[in-house]
Amino acid sequence: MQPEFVTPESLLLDTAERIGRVRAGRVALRVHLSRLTPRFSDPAYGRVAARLFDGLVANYRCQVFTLSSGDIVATGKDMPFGDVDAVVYKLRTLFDADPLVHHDPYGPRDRFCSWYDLETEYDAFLAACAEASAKIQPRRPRLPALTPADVDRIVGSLSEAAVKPFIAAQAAVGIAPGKPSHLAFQEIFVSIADLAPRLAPGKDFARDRWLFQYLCQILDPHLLSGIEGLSLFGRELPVNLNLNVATVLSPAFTEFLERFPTAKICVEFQVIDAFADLARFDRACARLHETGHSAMIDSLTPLGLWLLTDAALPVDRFKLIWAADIASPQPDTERHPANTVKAIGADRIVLAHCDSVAAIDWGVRQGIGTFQGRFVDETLIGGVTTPTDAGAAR
Amino acid sequence: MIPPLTRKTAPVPVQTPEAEFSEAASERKLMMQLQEGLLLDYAERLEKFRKQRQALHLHLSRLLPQNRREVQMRAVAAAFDPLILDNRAQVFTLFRGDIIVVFASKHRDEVEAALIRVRFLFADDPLLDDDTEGQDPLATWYILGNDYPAFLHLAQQFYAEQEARRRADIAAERAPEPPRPRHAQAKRLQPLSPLVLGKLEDALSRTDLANLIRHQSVAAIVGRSHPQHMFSEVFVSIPDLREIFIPEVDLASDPWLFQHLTETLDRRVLALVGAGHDRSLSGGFSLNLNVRTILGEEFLDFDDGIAGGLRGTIVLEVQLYDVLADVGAYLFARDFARERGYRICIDGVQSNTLPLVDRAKIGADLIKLIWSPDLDQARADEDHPVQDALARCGRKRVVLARVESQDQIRIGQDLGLSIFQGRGVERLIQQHGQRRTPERPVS
Repeated sequence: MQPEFVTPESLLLDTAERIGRVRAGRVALRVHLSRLTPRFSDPAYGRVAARLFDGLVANYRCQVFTLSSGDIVATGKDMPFGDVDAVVYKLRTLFDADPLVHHDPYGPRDRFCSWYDLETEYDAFLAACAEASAKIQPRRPRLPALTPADVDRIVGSLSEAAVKPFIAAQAAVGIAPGKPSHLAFQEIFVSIADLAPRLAPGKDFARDRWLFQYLCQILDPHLLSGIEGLSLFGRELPVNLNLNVATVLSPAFTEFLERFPTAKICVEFQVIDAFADLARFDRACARLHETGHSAMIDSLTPLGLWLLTDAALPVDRFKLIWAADIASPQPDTERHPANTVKAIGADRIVLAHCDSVAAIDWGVRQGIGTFQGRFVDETLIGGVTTPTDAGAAR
Repeated sequence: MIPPLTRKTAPVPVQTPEAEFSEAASERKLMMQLQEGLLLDYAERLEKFRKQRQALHLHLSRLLPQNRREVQMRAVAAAFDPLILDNRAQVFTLFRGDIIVVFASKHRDEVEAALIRVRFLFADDPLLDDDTEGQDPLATWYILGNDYPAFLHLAQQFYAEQEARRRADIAAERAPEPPRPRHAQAKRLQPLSPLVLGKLEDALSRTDLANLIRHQSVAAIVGRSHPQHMFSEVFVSIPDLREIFIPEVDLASDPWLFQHLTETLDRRVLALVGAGHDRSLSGGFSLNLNVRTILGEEFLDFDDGIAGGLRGTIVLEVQLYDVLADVGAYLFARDFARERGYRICIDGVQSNTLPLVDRAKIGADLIKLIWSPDLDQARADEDHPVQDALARCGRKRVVLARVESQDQIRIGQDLGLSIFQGRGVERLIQQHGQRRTPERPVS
């Protein structure tokens, strides 16, 4: 059944039916933004992409539809191929970081852009429009960001007791070809994914990054005081902690080190925290090194890692976040994840969020030796690591 | 025996009838209600008892602003509370934030213990690492048997300072112009809290910010020639905003809440400038934007209102940490903005982050390097990492920002730079009287 309200899909189908009467000189194209990796799922990217058709709209009365899936469909009459192609080329440049763009461009297996010459392919185009119109999947509305007032309320409700049940641990394993794998370290953290719905139901905890950073900083002392022991599976392991720069320089961290004098700690910093005040970050790293501990930059994408290859940062390791497209075929440039890993040194990298054997395969091939993630928990360690010895039992 | 004083109460001064009519006397009466007045009075009376006394001057005003928040100051006071309660020490909390503790020599150990607690509170402050001159930067001790003249001098100095400040305040209140914003360090300000931030942003959303918008020239200066204005950076004056809305709050006390505020302000500036109220900007201008703002609807609306030919004169300034926070989003926003014709400038680059801003990778049109004294060292040293980094960025693309003086401009020139911004540049332009976009509010 057709929806009764006007949607981009219904408008597109109307247009497709209407232009069927005069097909000569008409072309249509569909840019499959819905096939991009999740990193481009923010509708902002689609809005910006649609802007690139402005010239065609002004000069040739091209019609542009942004579908609920995120795909863009454009159709027009007597548009010079060169002008249309220039737009597609620019779109490819914009989404250059996505493997989809590099998959057989302009070839028969190009999955980024579909072209329809409506003189000969009208029926296929109409069918595609009908299909799009029949299965509109309204996007789930994005949760609103936290406001300063929300944060004020959350900060007021935080206490050690409120945070402690959400302290979790995850192990990382060391893997080397021909050797048995071993537990490398455990990361102890506040599970924001579990805590956020309690503190701010119906809100996106991390969408406003500044307020998110502020809350993380407030949570840090609760994490430190909530950790009761550092053993996992009955063994003392090196411990990784997610902390803010300011926390490492605070008395709360000194107290923590005094409570666990034999611990080997590696603090994982967010890149935005490090670079917001690099001098302070240097002091935090120096403090860690002076006391025999180490520092790591957390949550890097391959591009983030690439940009840091020339930075003489005072950190020991970098945590690269696995995503399936890392292993996809990509042009062999300096930006290629494999080349970036080589440039920074594979032995300095921990591959995190490994959710499949493909992640481990790729990592081992690059020479990476330390892995973390759901696949590691379930397969290599043989069980999830919660409830933990670290925090209070759930 | 000196009469004991507590931290807060002041003795009621005995007044003669004539004195009540003398301005000096009424000033002294006012001063006696302030800690500086009490300290001087106490120091003067100490002369007879100085042999068994010592004093400690805590230079808390030298700490970073984020370490001088109310909660920390309360913690400092608490460290000395037990000593005050049984009159083992007198404590004076001065306007500038410093604390003076006067005590009998036999209690020295207890005061030292309190000082250790204070040091622990500020372990993260760079002040405590600074022992370059072999002197304790946080604490100065006075053995009053020997050091009494120095101590009295100190008390007199604080008294004079506070008196001058009071007179300046009175003068400012009488003046036709609004008082100058006071230096944040001089006043005990409240830290910015999420609650206050929310209220401030709410108030700002209902306020026309045009009066708070300022311009600062970015100019090319070659040799000793006149500065050539290139474009104006448009921004909201934070000191003025603070003074108008929340003079009692230290906006920079928390970096994350402050960033949230500036992001809100940047979006407002974008809307104001996009609405085209300001014709003096036709010569080109720059705006501070977040990567996410460039990808947001506000920017697309702004873009709609800008004539195509003008875009080439508009510079979008993006902070380096913003680039690093999501490199993929930055590359996307950069390619889009370039495609529309805008220029991209990476802002907030320091000499130690300059090596990161490899032009081949970041691909910006301009790089804004913040002035720092180590550039002076780099000037004389061909092998300094800054030299190599400048070469890789392209010296012609680097704006040396926040230059305060002609000397700093000269140092930049010696490093091969030719584009400058800052108060030093503003002064030069005023001297040469050839400013094209006067610094004034948007009409």
